[in-house]
Amino acid sequence: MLPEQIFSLSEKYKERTEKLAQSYQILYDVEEIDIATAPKDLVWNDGKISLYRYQRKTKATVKTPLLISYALVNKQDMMDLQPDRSVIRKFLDLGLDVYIIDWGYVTRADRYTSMDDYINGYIGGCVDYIRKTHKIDKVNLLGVCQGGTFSTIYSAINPQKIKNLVVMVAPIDFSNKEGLLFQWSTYLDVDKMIENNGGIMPGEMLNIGFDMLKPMSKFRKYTSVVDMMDDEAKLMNFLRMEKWVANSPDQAGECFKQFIKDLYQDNKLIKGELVVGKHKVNLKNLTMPVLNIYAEADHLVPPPCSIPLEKHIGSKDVQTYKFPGGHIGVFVGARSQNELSPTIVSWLKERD
Amino acid sequence: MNKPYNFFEYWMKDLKEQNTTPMQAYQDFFKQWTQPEQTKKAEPGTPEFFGQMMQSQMEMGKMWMENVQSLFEQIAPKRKEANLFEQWSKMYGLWNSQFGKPFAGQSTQRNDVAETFSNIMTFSQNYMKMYELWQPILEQINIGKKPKKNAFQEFMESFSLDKYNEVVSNVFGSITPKQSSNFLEEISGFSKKLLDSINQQTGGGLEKLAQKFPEMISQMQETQYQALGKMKKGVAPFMKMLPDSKEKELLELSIDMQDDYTYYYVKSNEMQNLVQATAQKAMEKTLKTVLDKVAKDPNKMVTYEEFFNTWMDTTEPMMIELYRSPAFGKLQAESMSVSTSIKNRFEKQLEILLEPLPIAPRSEIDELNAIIHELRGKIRNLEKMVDTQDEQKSSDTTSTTTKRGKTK
Repeated sequence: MLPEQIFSLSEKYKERTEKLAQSYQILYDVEEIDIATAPKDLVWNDGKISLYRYQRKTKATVKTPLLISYALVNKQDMMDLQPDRSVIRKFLDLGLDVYIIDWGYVTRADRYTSMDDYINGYIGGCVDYIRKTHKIDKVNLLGVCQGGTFSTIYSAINPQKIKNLVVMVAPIDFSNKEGLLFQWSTYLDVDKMIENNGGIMPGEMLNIGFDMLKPMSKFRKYTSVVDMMDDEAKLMNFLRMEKWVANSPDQAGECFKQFIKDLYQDNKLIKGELVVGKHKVNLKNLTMPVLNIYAEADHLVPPPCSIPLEKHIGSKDVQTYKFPGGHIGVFVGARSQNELSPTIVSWLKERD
Repeated sequence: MNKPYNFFEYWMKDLKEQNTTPMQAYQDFFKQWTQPEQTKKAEPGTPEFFGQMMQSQMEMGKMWMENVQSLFEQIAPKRKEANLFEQWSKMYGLWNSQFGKPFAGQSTQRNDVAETFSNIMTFSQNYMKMYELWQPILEQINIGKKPKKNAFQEFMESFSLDKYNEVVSNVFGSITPKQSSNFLEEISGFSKKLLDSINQQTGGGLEKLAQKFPEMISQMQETQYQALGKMKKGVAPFMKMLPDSKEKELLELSIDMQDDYTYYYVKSNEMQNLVQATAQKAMEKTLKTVLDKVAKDPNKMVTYEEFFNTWMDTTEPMMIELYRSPAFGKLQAESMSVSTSIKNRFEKQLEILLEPLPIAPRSEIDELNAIIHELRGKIRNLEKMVDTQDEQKSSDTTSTTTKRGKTK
């Protein structure tokens, strides 16, 4: 190696070391990464599943309460990542009475928890609690990603209990293999994998798969973050997102198996062949108003997996909304705050 | 037969003598582990500090295993059973260090900031490795002249593919032949201990066979690709001669594990080849892009960041295309399946090793879980029925009141 090159390399090491030293000091001083801070009360629970109601200072202007069902993957904290990037706070500001399900943390004790338990048992329990508490027949239901698929299934089984259904970035038609997850699941021996993992699907294993969807994103993210360490607001945004990403619960094996086999591999929901518990799921039963939101640049649930919902349901009041962004941008981007959340609330108000 | 329980008894006895509980012992261990971190904080920013910091972050799991192991050694250095467990934990530790997080379970002691910093360190290392690789090329193309016609060829020849593959392996994940060989050696060592134990139980009657067996295993390991999935068949006649015992069960599981691991190693190598071939093409494409840029404007300086970003922008879509291919998807599914099989066999071995202890094994707990799940479902249905009946009653009352009102 030429002396100039050695000099240049040592300069680069020096530069990097200084940046890392600075990063360490700044990170060391971070006391708490606060996410999901909107005040809420625990109002119902069943085992590890909890139902929270967000506190309101004023009376809700939309009569029908909204129940949010997030995915089992990661946590619902994404809906309230930080005060200025919070779908929940926006909903509250715009007059909604908001409930949210926390699925808790699965352990091996939950290995037999099935899709039937999650959908008919837990979502059903939350819906009935709200109906009973508010003395109403129907609630508004909003499902996110896998929670959107679950909400769609629940609404098809119990149309008499749902006033309006909103689904966000939810996989419905699994026949399109554009997304890598959809392609990989084709070859997966899910029974064997769950059995070998002691009846659960480890969240960390899912995270490896998610990282592979954008293979360079971690490299890009962690090499560039050192350059924005001195901007406290940006750093805290980054750390909140990191905290959310890292919080990846394990999945109950029984439910995961059915989700992969019946939906990812056999696309039974669209085919009208899906059976959940004692119920055969018929999408034509979805006769309530439906708002279907998909993200144009979604790499987890590509648009062709969400858009077809409108073709298969019985409702005559269906709106498909294209969000110009990615899967996560739906919750945290500026457009989410300024455009999407107000659109959802207006849509619900019009049908209240 | 001899039971491998004594080291736990010794451990508990030792804890009692120290007037401490297993939880306190664990907390002390945890404190010991976290203490050096606090000491390091006194002098942040020095290169030594970062080296230590990185080391501690990266080797957390390894340290834990070593501590557990040394605990075993201190408590029952002479006990055959403890040694058996020790050997097992070495084997498990090696495997865990290869497969890492997905098999480690959920962490309740998460430190998000520390994890973020650890990631920053890891990727910074790779960033610097890439700089080392590209720096000579960057200097050559930044001398203000048009690149020579054969510049691409020259650069490619001088480029260290080994180093590049190292970065690719770090970024996209893979196991090294050394890791693989260490793991197989540990399985072999564990098998030998089991055989020694069986031999002693049979009054030394199997001594010759017990001596021959490790040799046989070793020969098969040397030809692991040929012996793919055939280890079990190869040793079947020998296994028939062994009397039934827990050690035999453990041995059979080890042999299955070895078959699995060999298969996993082959599959992960195939995946690694696909990844490295794609990464190499991406690197060639990156170099061409940069050389084209310089050829158009020789006076324009190309910075490392520009180079690095071009490399990432080029590599990402190529990798996604590879991941999308059926060939990769199949390999990934196979290697995931077989790697979880290894985990399963480890857990079965652990159940056998812990069988004599007053601990409910997972298989029994699973039976309970199934019963609890069924009962919860029944309770939920009963609650629903009661609610429906209540609703029905209240609606009947309302309806009767209304009817009466109408009659009146």
